[in-house]
Amino acid sequence: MGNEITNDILLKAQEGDLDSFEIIYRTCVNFVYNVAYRILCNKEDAEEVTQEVFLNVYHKLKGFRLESSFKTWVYRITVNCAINYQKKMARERERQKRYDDNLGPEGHVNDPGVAINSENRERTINALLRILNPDQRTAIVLRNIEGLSYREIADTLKVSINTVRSRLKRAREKMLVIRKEVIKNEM
Amino acid sequence: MKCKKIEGLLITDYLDKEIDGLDKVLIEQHLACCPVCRDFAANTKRLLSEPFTDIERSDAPEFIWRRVKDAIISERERRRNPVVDFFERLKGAIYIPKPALVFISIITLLLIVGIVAKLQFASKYALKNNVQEQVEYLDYPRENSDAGFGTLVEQYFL
Ligand SMILES: [Zn+2]
Repeated sequence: MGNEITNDILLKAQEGDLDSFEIIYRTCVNFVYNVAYRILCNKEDAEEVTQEVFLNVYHKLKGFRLESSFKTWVYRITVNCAINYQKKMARERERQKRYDDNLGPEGHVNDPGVAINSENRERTINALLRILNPDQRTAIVLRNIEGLSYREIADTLKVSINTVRSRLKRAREKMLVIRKEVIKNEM
Repeated sequence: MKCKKIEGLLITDYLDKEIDGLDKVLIEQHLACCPVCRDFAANTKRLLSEPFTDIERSDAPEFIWRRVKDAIISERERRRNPVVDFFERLKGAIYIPKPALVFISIITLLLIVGIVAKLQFASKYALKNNVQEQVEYLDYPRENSDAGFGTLVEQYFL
């Protein structure tokens, strides 16, 4: 993505042209939606966040400098919206959990072991992503799913390449332990 | 290079093809002669990289665009209506970032005001009672002295 969005389109959108903004939306929406989905592991949440991302893009577009990478900029807004949304949801779930604890035990849907045993790859990926903290998960999503380079991830998250490297390393060490355990149990 | 350092690179830069030049040559030389690291490299690729290759990507549902567009259009209409826009701006100007905190602060403030007022009222009341008692006490002898002392001075003044 990014190649189709010319400076001309960006300029028109900055001036408030809704058709140009729609071109931007159509070009970016699928990657925004997929990144949000992989960070949040939930489609309804990803829909909410996608909408929020584009309203953010619309409002902040005037401040976007044309010489910087539009793709990186949209990735950054997406990651920030998704992580903030997740924090908000986590707080709400914690409140709900305290309420549920009084009602009785809760089923564990996000047990990575269970999901990996099933041969569903989609569930394997979600289960692997769920064991990571938001920073590690974001790094894995941007690298493994979006195929961004370390430099691009660093620019998106406004961190150093070494931070990107160490987040990926920790994330993969965690995932490797889980994967090996599951394989050992299967044998 | 030591196996531990190689492992760190195998799980990051090597797996992600972020490495080239001399480092890559050195890693490959090590892998050629170290079965443990070779095994580790194969495992990381199989367990950590392959599940993500050609991952299914979903298309965002169309209704999201409608929602975004509707939100933008209604915002523009609001801006065109100066009265609505004024109230919107006012709402924006008195936007409260942490309503719970503000609520608690207001309650605390009211409580403090309440307590102070109550204390003041109580002390005033106590003072008033005290004064009343003193007045009554002072009154007491006069009531009794209605009979008079029968002095000349009294007769002169009354
Ligand atoms: Zn070795």
